[in-house]
Amino acid sequence: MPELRPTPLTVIGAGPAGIMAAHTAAEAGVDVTLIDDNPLPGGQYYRQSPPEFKFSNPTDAQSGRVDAPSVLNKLPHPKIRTLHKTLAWGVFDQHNLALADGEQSFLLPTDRVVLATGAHDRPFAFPGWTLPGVLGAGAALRMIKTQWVLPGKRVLLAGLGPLQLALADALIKAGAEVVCVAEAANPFQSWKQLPKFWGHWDRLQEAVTYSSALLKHKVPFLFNHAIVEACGREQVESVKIARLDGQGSPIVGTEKIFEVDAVCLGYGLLPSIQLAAAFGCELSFDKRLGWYSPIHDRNMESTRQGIFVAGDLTDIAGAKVALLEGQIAGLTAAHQLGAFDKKTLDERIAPLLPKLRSLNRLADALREIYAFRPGLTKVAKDDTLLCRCEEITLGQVKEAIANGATDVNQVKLVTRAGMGYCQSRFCSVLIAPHVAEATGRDLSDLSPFMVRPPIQPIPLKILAADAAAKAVQ
Amino acid sequence: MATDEKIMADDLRIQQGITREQPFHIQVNGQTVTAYPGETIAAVLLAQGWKMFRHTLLSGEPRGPFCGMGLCFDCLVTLNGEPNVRACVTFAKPGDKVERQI
Repeated sequence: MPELRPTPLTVIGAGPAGIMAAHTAAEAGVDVTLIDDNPLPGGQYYRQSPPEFKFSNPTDAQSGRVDAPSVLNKLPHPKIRTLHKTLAWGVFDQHNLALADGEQSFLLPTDRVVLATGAHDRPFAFPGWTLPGVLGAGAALRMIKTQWVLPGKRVLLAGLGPLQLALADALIKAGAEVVCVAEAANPFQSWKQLPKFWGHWDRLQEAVTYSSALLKHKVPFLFNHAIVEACGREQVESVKIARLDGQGSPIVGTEKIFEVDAVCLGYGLLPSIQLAAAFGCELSFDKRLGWYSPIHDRNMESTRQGIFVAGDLTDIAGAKVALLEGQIAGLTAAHQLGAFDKKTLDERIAPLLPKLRSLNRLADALREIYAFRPGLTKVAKDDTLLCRCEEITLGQVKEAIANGATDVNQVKLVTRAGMGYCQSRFCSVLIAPHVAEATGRDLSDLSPFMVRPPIQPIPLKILAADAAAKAVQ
Repeated sequence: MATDEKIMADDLRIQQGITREQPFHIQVNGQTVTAYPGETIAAVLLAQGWKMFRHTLLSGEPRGPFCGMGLCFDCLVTLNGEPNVRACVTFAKPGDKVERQI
């Protein structure tokens, strides 16, 4: 593979955390390489519309984020080499990153790394969830806010958390009919969390604005309800929701049916941990997320020296926390590369910490209110696919366990679940709770699927482009 | 342009607050479809109300865009003869020939 000019610091992911990490280190004099697989920087939060679209409201070009320019204007930067449309698909001995663009694969020798790989929609398995027209809430938001196309005309939203409200608001404004919002949590039972919102008036204001839009359009907004089935021949035509009991399991006899042409699933986000795992960063299980994130210290350094993590990858705490964590990671990496001494590092980080603590309190409250309850895994039936790619059902997973598989990796070896296109991003979290239940272990005692490069499928012609070129010569 | 206007009227594109550039055509399973510069192939198909992009190889069940960020590979189409192209991260170009893998 051809090799790129070595770089002292590589930042992977050009969302809020990655941009701030790269910019902070570059301002301290460090040469940075910023890698992102999208055509434009911004990540998901500040996702930019194609430059060919013109808007009457300029913030619409940046997913409607008013503060986007203050972050996006940090690029380009003379000390930052940005590689867009480039995927980091693996790492060799911690200092050689394997990259691929649309043409070929290449190596990037690097000293330190900041991983800011973000998050993706948490999958939620129920009968019919693989039908066309059933899509992630994040996917729907991206389709509306950056492509300006509606995912459907009659839409039901089901999920967990405030992203649903933002999506319902966006759908209504864009002219779609929202037939129902099914919220799996019951925020009113979580009044003890309210003091943590003190001072975060902007977030409360947002919630009030979105809720009043739902009221105005008379959209049924049902707490303690989850989607239990989607039906249709070639695409979703109707959907069933049900009320949940204290454990989050659907209660038989409480079902309601809606006719729809699209369903958006907003059951929260999961940290995209694949690269962190490939680097050998230790992961820890977060009970409220019900999933793993990389362990880090106060300086955002992972358990691997010189490998930092920042943003939603660490905790799903949102863009404001990501901006601060990115700065802290960038400053610490710059210090380790000799840009300034330890005393200066501490002085520069100190003013960021109170803000980070306050925002983390809020994120904690939200994680508590919108925790993924164990009963929600009961929605999947034996013939429901858990692995979309290799088409492995819950029944097949149970059979593998009955035949002796005791962890998710053994289930993978027996069934092929997790070996397909998505490289276990979506099925790992669906399979693990069933393994835990069947083997009588705590979910936190299991480990996620092993990660091997490439962490995303790459056409062989791109991997072999260099060899092919040499063969022609 | 009469057919285009008809498509415009009931497609799923958001019209208010946005100005798109001059549209062009692509072929989807032999049918001529309007696309605008900057649109992904997934957006062009979804704008038509087409949610099913392919059938799976194993069981043959229908699939369409799910993650919308290039991770799940459910939106695969054949583009200009090349199979398994992710429609959600691939921009449409004038003259593209798209086959929904159905």
